[in-house]
Order: sequence, then C-alpha cells, then structure tokens
Amino acid sequence: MRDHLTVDGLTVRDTARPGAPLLDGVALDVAPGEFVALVGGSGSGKTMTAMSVLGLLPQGLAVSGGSIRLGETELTTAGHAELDRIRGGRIGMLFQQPKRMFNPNRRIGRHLREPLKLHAGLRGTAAQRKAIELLAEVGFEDPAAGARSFPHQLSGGMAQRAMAALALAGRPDFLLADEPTSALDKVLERQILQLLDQERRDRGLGILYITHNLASVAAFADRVLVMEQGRLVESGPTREVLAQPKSPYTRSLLEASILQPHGTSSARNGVHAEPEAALSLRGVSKSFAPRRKARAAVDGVSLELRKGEILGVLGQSGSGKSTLARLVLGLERADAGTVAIAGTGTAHTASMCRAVQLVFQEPYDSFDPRMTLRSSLEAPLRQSPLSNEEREGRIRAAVVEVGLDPALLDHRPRQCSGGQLQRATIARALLLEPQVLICDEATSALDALTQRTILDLLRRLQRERGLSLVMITHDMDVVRYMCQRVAVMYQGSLVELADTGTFFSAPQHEHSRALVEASIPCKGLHLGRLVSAAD
Amino acid sequence: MCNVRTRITADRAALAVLAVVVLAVAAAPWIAPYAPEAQDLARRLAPPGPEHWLGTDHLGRDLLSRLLDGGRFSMLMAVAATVLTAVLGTAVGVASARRRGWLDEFLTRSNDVLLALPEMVVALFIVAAMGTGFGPLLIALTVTGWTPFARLARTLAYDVSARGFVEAARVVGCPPSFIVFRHILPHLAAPMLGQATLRFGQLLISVGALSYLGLGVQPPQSDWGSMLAAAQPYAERAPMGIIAPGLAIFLVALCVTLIGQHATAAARTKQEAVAHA
Repeated sequence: MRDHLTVDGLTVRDTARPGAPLLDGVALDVAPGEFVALVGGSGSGKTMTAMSVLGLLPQGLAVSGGSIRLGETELTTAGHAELDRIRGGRIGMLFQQPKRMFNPNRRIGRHLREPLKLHAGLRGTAAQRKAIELLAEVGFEDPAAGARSFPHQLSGGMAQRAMAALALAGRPDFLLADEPTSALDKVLERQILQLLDQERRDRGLGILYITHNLASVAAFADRVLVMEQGRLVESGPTREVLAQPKSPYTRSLLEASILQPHGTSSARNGVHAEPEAALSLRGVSKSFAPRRKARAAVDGVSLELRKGEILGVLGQSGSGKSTLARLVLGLERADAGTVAIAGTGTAHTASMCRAVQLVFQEPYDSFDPRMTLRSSLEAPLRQSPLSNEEREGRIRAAVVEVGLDPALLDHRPRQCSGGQLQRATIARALLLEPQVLICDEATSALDALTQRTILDLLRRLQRERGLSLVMITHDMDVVRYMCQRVAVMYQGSLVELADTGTFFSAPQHEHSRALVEASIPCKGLHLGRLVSAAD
Repeated sequence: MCNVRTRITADRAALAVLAVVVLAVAAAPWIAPYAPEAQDLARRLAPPGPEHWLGTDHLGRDLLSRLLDGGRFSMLMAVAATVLTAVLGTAVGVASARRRGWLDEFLTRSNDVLLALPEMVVALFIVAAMGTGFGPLLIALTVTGWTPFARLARTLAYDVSARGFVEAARVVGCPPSFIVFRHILPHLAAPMLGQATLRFGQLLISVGALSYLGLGVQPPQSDWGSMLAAAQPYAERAPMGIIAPGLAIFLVALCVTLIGQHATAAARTKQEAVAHA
C-alpha cells in the first residue's frame, strides 16, 4: 500500500502572542489518488495548514502540537535535509501567483531542470528533454518554445501550467495546491483542474486543493474539508457536504459561492435603465509600444453605458479591460477616440475625473499603510470649501452608508479586514458624488462570503443613488448576479455586447462561448438545485 | 548578522559616546581649560600631564582646548553638508521619479557623470576655484554629495508611485503636491534618514581630509583635519598631536554610522511589519 499524507491534531501558535492557537487540532488525511478540497474564508488557516506540512511556516509561528506524517515519516520533527528531499520530491506545491514564484531572469526550462537534477538526477540534454516532455504533458502546444521563454512571456494560465510542470517534475506523490486558480478566469481554472485530475488518474497523485470557492472544485473533489478560524468544522464526501451541509458556516459559504442570477434584466431589478448615456466611448484606442508593431492594448472600442445600468466587462487577463478603465478615469491618455461623460466635456478635466470613480482589486494596496482611514478619506474633500465639521459629517455619512462602523476611521489599513477596506474604498469614491463607479475585479481578492456582501452593497448603491456600475471581472457568477448587460473584451477589442440573459443563452463570439461553457457546473452536479433542496 | 544583544549594546554605547562628544564640543568655550589660540612657547610639544591633559602642540597650545574648538567646525560642516545633500538629493530623486521623461533622463545621467568623478578631486577643484572657507567647502562637498541620496530617493519614489494608494489618490483628484508630501515623502523618510547617518560619517572624514590638505579652515582657526596636518612633522616627539584628532574623527564617524545602521534596520523591520500585516 502506498503512503498516505496524514495530519493529526495539528496545532500552530504565534510564539510571540500566547492565547488562542492559529490552527487548533486540524486533522486530515489524503490517500494516493485522492482529490481533497480544503475550503474556507480568508484567514481560516488553509494556507497555514499547507505551509505546516512543508515546514515552511513564517517566522514566529511554530507547530506546538499534533503530527504530520507522510507514510512513516514524521514531518514536524524532520531535519532540513530530509525536508528538502520531501519538498518537491514527494510533496509538490502549487501557488496562487505563479509568476511571482518564478525567477524573472531565468527561462522556464532552467527552472524545470533544477528539480529534475535534485530529485531525478538528470543533467544536461537529458534534463532539457525531460523538461520539454513535462511542458508537453501540462498542455503546452509548443513545449520547446515554452522551455525557452521567460516567465513574463507566459500568460497567467500558461504560467500556472508551467508551475504545475515544476511541481510535478520531481514526480511527487502528493500535491498541495494553494488557490492556484483564484487569479485566473473560469476557462483557465477548468483547464488546470482537469490537468490535475488527469495526473491523479494516471499515476495516483494525491491532491490537497485549497480554495475559497467551494463551487469551483465541486466537480473534481472526492472529499471536502471546511475550515473556520483555524478549526475543521466539517468534512465528508463532496456530494454529502454540498447536499446536506451540517455546519452553518459551510452553508453560508455554499450560498455565497452560488450567486443566484437576479440582475439579468432591468425589470427584474426594479430599476428601468434610462436610455440616456452616463458614459460613452467612441473608437477609443491605446497602444503602449508605438514604435514596435505591437498589438494595441485597447483597439477602437465604442461603448455606451446607460444611466443606472450595471455593465459587466469580461475578458481574459491582458484583454485590455483594465486599460480601458484607466482610459476612462483619465489615468492614461487615449491615442485615438473620445471618452464623454454625461454633463461634462470630452476633455480630461478634474471634474470629469471625479464623476467616474474606481474600486480597486487589492484592498490593502488602495490605502496608504501609514495613514488612518480618516486621513485617506479626507483627501478627496481637501479641495472643497467645507468646514472641518461639515467634512467630518460627510465622511461619517459615507462610511455609514457603506455599512462601516465610524470608529474604524481611526484605524490604519492593516488593522482592518479586506472586506472593510473594500467598503472604505467605496465610501471614498462616494464622497465625490460620482455618476459612474468602475469596479476593477473589486471582489476577486475576497472570500466568497465577503464578496457577496460587497456585491449586495454595490447593488444597493446602484438602486438608491442611481449609480452606473461597470464590473470588470473574470467571474461569470458575478456577472450573472449583478449585470444587465455584458461586454466581452478579447485582445483589446470589444467582441460582444449583449443583455446578460441573451449572452448566457446564446453567446455569439467564440471566446464568449468558451467563457460561458466553462462557467456551467459539470458532472451533473447542479449546485443551485442541491442547495435549494437542502433548504 | 551578529546577535541582537551585542547590537543593542553597541548602539547604546555609540549613542552615549556621541552625546558626550557633541555636548563637550558645543560647550567648548566654557569648559575648555585654555583659549584655543593661547600660545605657551616655553611648553612646546609637552606630553600629556596634569596641566595639559592631552599635552601641547608645536606652538605650545593646549591640545584638548584645540580639539574641542576644532570639533565645532568639523561637525558643523559635516552636519550642514549632510542636511544639504539629503534635501537636495531627495528633491532631485523625487522630481526624477514623478516627472519621468527627459527630466528624469537628464538628472539620472548627471548623477552618473558625477558618480564617475572622484569626490575629492571635484572638491579640490571647487575649493581651488572659489577659495577656502565654510561656504566654498560646503559647496564642494554638496556638488558630488547629493548623488547617493538622489539614487535612493528616485528608486523608492518609483516604487511608492506604483502602489495602489497613489493611483487611488489620483483617481479622487488629489493634486500632485498632496501625493508627494503626504504619500511619497513619509514613505521615504526612514530610509533617507538611515542613508543620511551613513553619509555623515563619510562627510566628516572628507572634511578632515580637505582640511588636512589645507583646503578647509585657515589658521589660526582649526579643525580636526588641520590639527592632524600641523602635528605630522612632530609625530615622533609628540604622538598625541596626531592620535587625539585622528581618534576624534574616527570615533564620531563610527558612532554615527552605527546608529545609522541601527536606524535603517529598525525602519526596514517596521516597513516589513506594515507590509506583512
């Protein structure tokens, strides 16, 4: 019988801070050829569990109890040399941001030769041949070219495939995958999952797959473990957990990960989109390398955003979505075309800048870590001739409007959660009374529960203030949940613009079809139905 | 990396020594046993003793009094040059990073050119052209001294400018001055301070070197460098004339550098804590 990876009663503490442990009695077992999903909100201890297994806990944290065994080997007490052999050799690891895990100065092939040398003893041309073989195995169409390329030349999906090749190079028995697809769109997520599934079938790879999105792994996982605040709150076969979640936390995670569509038509949404345009783009183009024959980042996009409308902008990373947003915001200057906002001219003036506001993807990066939230929120009001009391009043009102406690205003960003900061970003935008709010992947860094609350907040603001929203996202569920119309960007061009209902039932463009197909839960598991049955 | 306790002890000792030296030098007119120019030709090149603690020089002047008096010029010069170069360098670096384009290109290339020229040779040239004294010497040290600050400030300002909160500030319509003063400079402060303390030590030595070469203060005023130069011919008969000012330069430079390293390390730790929290 082959070895199992067994974690028993694992407890991890912060050595500097006595008190409640960060991980409390976590127990799990991964058999060869098994696909186990470890699910939980951010901060629930999923990543910490994986890091404990590999002996890679950050400084200051230590395993204070329990055991981690790989077959007969105890990993909590293993020495450096032994752990080095195990990492990569017997347990591989996939990370969330593959590009950050590659050395930008080294070609992919050279990255791959390293584990091949360490764990398989291959050198020179033999190693290079094997590296190319591995790349072919993970789905590179031209593996030889892939091996020659540098990390920055790969797309996000390809980089994650290369990472998978790297993790599998040492022929490990187990793979720890820490949100490897959270930053990818659904099509790529599906491909990576299929790739891992294939490895598990072919050679009995045991997989521990960490994610905050229960629905995305439902089709592949044999078992699901749910973590909350450092403890396992539920475990069982996938079907059982999905059909009859025992803990309320699992249930809320599940509900949050399945966004029921009810924003598909304006009638259903209770708001009649006015035909008047809040924002209109005419033939907008932008290219970043004018001298080379590079493809334009945004290529002749014409688009109209109606007042009070929620428009979804879909597209792969690099398709020009974010550049389009930056052009509208006046952060970049268009090479050609015009951007017009209702009530203002076409020039990029300060007043125009204020009428369109932005919510960023990364909540912790959108605030200066040195400033309190109050100082950050005061910044946009500095030009206005308000008295201190009026200013404070406005800030409080905005903070309350987005559902934050005004006491948080005296906190610094790192004392707040991602969800709180995202609310604060929205409050900061609202202070300027914008007409249009652009959300650039505003919820993709958040766990499913928080994502849901932020989306609901945005819907409420759209209803109450008559805001027009642009949701830039790769998450089809967000689009289905929020948007009335969908625009699809592909290689800098707008390839499709349709009502959400029409888009999902009859996508026109080839790329749209791929996006829609990948977003449908497979293997006959229709999650929505399962949950409503459980209710 | 040496262990934490040694480091903290070293820092405290450095701070204590520096405090004593600064106080003594500042209070020189009141605590010095003799006037720095008072000659006692009967007691030339006297060894250390109860009357003259460090002995006397070739004109019979009290070495301790001259050491205290000379420290004022050396340290004041080094402080002034450090502050001036730090402010100038930071301004140039931030301007480069914010304006980009031809200005950045021009400032960076000028920086490279100045880095290629030996600091001492440029200083010699300027002093030769402008004459000696506090002003010309300060200019001589500043002309090349700003370059390390500008390099550091430019790199850091580039990094901070790329952060999301700077973009966020632009989106809500904050003027560039607000972004520079409220977002960028506070993030630069700690590393620039660390750099400044490291540079202070080097500048103190440069001041000494220029004075040693006769390009700094002119007699009868003295500083540590010129004292060294004056005592050199009598090194065998009265070694204290060299040891005392040499040791003073060495000690102050060492103390400030140690404190600077500690400050830089502390700032880095704090920034990491902010980044990881």
